[in-house]
Formats: sequence, C-alpha cells, structure tokens
Amino acid sequence: MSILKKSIIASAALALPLAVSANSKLEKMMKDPSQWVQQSGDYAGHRYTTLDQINKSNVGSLKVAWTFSTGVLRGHEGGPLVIGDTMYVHTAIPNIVYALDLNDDQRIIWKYNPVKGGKYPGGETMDRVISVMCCDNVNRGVNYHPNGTIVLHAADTSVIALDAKTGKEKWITTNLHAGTGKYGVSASTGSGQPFIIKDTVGVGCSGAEFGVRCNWTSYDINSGKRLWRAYSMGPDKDMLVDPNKTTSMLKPIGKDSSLKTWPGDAWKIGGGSIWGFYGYDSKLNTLYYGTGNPSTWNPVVRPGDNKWSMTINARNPDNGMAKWLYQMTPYDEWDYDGVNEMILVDMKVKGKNRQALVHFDRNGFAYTMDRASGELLVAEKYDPAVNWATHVDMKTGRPQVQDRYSTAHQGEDVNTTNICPAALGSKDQQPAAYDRLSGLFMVPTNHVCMDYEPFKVDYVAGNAYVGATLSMYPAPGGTHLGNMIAWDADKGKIVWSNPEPFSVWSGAMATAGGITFYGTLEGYAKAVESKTGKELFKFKTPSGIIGNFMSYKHKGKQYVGILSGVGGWAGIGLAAGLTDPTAGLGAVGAYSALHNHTALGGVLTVFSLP
Amino acid sequence: MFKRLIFIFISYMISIDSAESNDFPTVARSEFVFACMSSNESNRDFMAKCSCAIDEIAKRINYEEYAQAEAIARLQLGASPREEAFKSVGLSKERMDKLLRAQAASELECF
Repeated sequence: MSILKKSIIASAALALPLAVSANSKLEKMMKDPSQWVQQSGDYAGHRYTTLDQINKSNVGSLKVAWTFSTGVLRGHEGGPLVIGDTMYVHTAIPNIVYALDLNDDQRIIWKYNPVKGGKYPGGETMDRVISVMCCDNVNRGVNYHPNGTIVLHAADTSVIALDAKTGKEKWITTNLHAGTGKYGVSASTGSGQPFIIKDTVGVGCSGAEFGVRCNWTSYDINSGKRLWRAYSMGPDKDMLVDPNKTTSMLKPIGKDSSLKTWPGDAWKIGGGSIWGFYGYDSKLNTLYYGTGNPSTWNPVVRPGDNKWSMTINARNPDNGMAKWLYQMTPYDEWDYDGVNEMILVDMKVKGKNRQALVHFDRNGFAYTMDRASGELLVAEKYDPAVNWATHVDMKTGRPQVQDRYSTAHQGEDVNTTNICPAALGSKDQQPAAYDRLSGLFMVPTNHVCMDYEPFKVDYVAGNAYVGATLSMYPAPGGTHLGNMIAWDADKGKIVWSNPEPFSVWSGAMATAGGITFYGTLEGYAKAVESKTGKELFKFKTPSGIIGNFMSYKHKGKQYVGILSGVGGWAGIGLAAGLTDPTAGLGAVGAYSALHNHTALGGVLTVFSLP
Repeated sequence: MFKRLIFIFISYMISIDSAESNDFPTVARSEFVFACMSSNESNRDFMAKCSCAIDEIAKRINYEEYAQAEAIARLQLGASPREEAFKSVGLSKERMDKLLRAQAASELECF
C-alpha cells in the first residue's frame, strides 16, 4: 500500500514543471503503475506492477477487454508500452510500430513502417535481413524517452527515433550494417530492445551465428550521434576496459585479458552478441548486460576461455568503461548465450544486506551477485536436469565441466549425447519477474536436453558460421519440455515448479494482487498464485505466446496485456491438411487463397475484470 | 486397390482411437470451419462439411491434445532453434499422429 501511495505522489509530481533530468523523470514515470514505460517495467527489471485491482480472489473472472491484430506473422517477443493515454505496439519484421489511442477505442493514431520499397533504412532489403536472422523474425520492443521519443531498434540494426506524438522520424542511424564486410562485421542484426539511460540510447547486436564481433553502442538521444562503443572481445581499448581498475571475481583483469584467450585473431569474428533484457542502477550509475556465445559453435577451433563472451558486464553508461565482468561459461561448447535479463534487487543474501543482481543463465545456473562489487554470491542449478557442469567453484567462479558432456573433449564429428540443458538453455531470453511480496523470482524455463555434434566450418563473411548439428528432446524422466518455477535467489533453491508440455517462452509479470502471469506456446495466458504456483486463470489466445506480460491502468481500471504470435496461423495448416496441403480436404491452392486470413499472426490481447 | 488399403488402415486407426471428452470450445470449432472453408470453398456445402469435420475430430481427440498439436504444427512452420527443439521430440510425433488420424477419420466421414 505504501508503494502505491508513493507512486501516486510520484505521478502527481510529473505534472509540475520541474527541471528534472531525463533520468529521474523516466524513473518517476516507472513508479506510476498506470503506465508501462519501459520493456521491463522499470530499470531493475522487476516486471512487477503495484496494481492490485486484479488479484488472486478475482483473477478467475478475467475477461478479454479488447484485442489488436498486428497484421504481421512470425514470432512476437517483447511487449507494448503505455505512456499516458497512448499505447505503443511493435511487430516482428518489418518492425512496424503502432500508436493506439486508449481514450478512443484503441484507434490507430499513427503507424510507422521502417521498411520502404522493400528496404530497411540502412539500405538492406528486408529479404536479406530475414536471411541472416538466426532465430525467427523477432523484435523485443520499443522504448520511450521523456523528451517525447519512441526508439525502435530495427532488424537491420537501424536505431530509429520517432516522435511519440506523430510517429515522424527524428533521426535514424544504422548501428552495424547487416551487409558483408562493412565496419568489419558481416551480418549482424537487431532484435534486442533499445535501452534508454539519461539522454542516451544504447543497443546491442545479434548475429553470433554469422561470425560478427558484437558490441554495445551508445547514442545521443537528441541527435543520434554515436557516443561510445564497447566490443565484447578484442584489444582493451576496443572493449573499454581498464586493465587495473576493471575487475573480475574482485581482481583486476590485467592487460589483454581477451586477446590472450583466443587463438590468433579469432576474436575478430568472436560473436558475443547482446540482445536480451538489461538493467540499470541510477544510484550506482551502472548499466548491466550479458554477452552471448563465442563463434563458431564448434569449440575445437577456438581453444581458450574466449573472453569476454558469456559475460555479465557492469559498465558506466556515461563513457562505457567496464567496472566489473564475470564470465559464466568460459570456452562455451554448447551455445549457452549469457544474454538473459539482469534483475536488480536489494535483498538479504546469506544474512547480509546486498545490492544484488540476479541472473538466470542459459547454462542452467542462477547467479546472485553483488552488483556494486561484482562478487559472486550464489550459483546454483535452477533445473535439476542440468548436467554439463557439476557445480560452480565459488573461489574461481568457474563451472566444473563434466568431460562426458564436453563437446570439445569428445571432439569434432563426435555426437555428444544427453547434454542438459539444450542450446536453448534452461531459460532463453524470456524474462523472469521479481515478486516484491514474496521475495521470489518467477522464472519461465525450458526443460530440454540435446545431442551436439560439432563440425569444421570455414568462415565466409555474411554466411552462417554455426558448425554444429543438434537434436533436442525432453529432459530424462518426463515428457514435458518446460517448467514455470519460483526461485529463492538467497538459498539458490526452487520453491515451486509447474510442469508445462512446452517450453515456457513468455516473459512473466508479478503483481501486488499476489499473482503472476505467464504464457505458453499453445497460446494459454495463465495466472498463478505467486506464493504457491496454483493455477487461477487460463485463457487461450489465438497463437503461441512468446511475448512479455505488462499491466497498466486506464480510467480507474487495471488492464493486463500480452502479445501472442509464433510463425503463422496453425489453424490453417491443420484445416488444410498438414501432410500434403494440396491433398487435405480436397484443397486446391489452399495456402495462396489464405493470404487474407494469415494476417491473424500477431495479436495483442488485453484483459480486465468485467 | 491402394485406396482400399488406405481405407482399411484408417478404419483400423479410428477403431483404436477411443472416444474423447468432446470438449472443444465453440471458438476453436469456428476457427477450424473458417480456415477449412477458406482452404476449400466458401459456400454452404463446405460449411456443412467443415463443421462435420471438426465435430469428428473433436470426438477423437481432446482439446488439450488438439491445442498441443496445433502448437507443434505452428512451430514446424519455423526454423529457429526454438522451433527445432520441438520437431524431433516424441511428444510432437505422438500428438501429431493422433491429430492426423482424427483428421483422416473426419475426411472419411464428412467429405
């Protein structure tokens, strides 16, 4: 209740013409639960709303208030924003942005499409960009700056600042071309959210499957001018690290910390992409993000720790300098990208008050760190199936890898079997939520294992540089592929776990009403009691859910929104006959005739109490 | 001859699929009819055939299994690692097989 009161005061203060910095203005807006102003809800990545109108006693009667079809097929990750009376909804490629008027039956105020004449602003054709997107056509959403800007990080890596009122372009800069060779990268793409800090917007990049060297780049929000760029690997000056001041496991990292861990100049195509959900602590003035896998997937060709791939980065957002780094999976052999969300929570860890950072890594370990110092506090498996490492050595911070699951130890052209988790990780980008009421983390997870066979590939700029064959299946002892779990980040223990037939690939949201929302690949939007995991509500949306839940309040009513949409409308496939579309039900030219209906791909469903 | 063999095979499949709870929500049936008419012909005749087809499917597979099969079918359209994971798993094959059997049965009954 006190939180709610505070936020009312905060939103009232917004109306006063105070000369506040962009940072504090945005942070005030984050505390107003009637809006949802950043992808994660707030800088701490809690994905928690203080609204409690919808709560555990009435969520069972939740109804669909309205829906909005995005008109775009394929995967819809991320979620909408609500700023004042306007909602901003983004789509998968071509990355359309809609502004909807919540006061006028969600009328479209403006629609922006960055692809004009088949081309993105950076000059690449949409088809070429799609061909180098590793993992579906997803985009993880737009963000808002209080100078009235909506920022889109488009798939061709263009960073596009739009006037929030009109949808007009303020400026566009193409971060890294998706084309070949330019800027020394080959085929990087954009799928991660643009991240607003003070008067800057920062973006990562995707494409470790294409031999890129990824980085975080910060731009001036008013002009689009580039401020700094920190590479994930390479010479110290490229990475913006200070050999004496930047630490890892509380010790200075020393000179050439990255170069020493790659054979020759393999770091030049070293991967280390950044595309998850990030955190920012304005008191510590520190930005937190994770870097992804080293390329190629074939570990045999890149002996060494491959620093600083698979690393949690803590950086000064003003100049990019790294404060501390922690590499979770040195010498990755399984594609366990370290990009997942950073959740910042002030909590007791082993009896001591800590400014903690909690991170659920793809590698199956949940890390609790001191976010000020970079000290490793807890590292435990959040899926009991995890077997590639026995544990994390708390002195060195290194996972203790089991030889029989080491794809490098087994060697090239050898199929290493029964590795858990699969390359998807025990969790992928789907962000967890922090329930401030119970102090538990609500974590959507995968429960999938794999066989992994690395093979030799030669790098050709702009082409896939994967070098491994995978097959995946449910973890032993069951047939389900996912779990929704509650996690105690102090004890490093699962509190409850709900099995799901498929991976839980949607972002969770916890609420002051004592409930947590998450979605499933079959398309169910679910609400469970945060404390126990007991299912209280279930609704089938038109497609699979891989988007993230959000909440807002409009005219006194609480709403909960979720994007659904994964690859096409299955109803079509089923009804037209899957085995042979021309034979099923005597269909003739079935798929071409269905063009009009397949627009049902991405749908935003918004719920409220009747 | 070949057709006849298929008929026998399908009849056998129908006989081993036990009756399910017939628990499809109307919206799921409507969606099927809508898609089925779109892939065939949008007229009264096909509305009847397609309605018959979904009713026959719903007799042979429960809605939870249908929703899972639908999710698998949807994922099979894509090619990302997320989707790859669901192509090879046993559950996928089992669900899809059951759905395809129900679908084959519905074709025999209604078309």
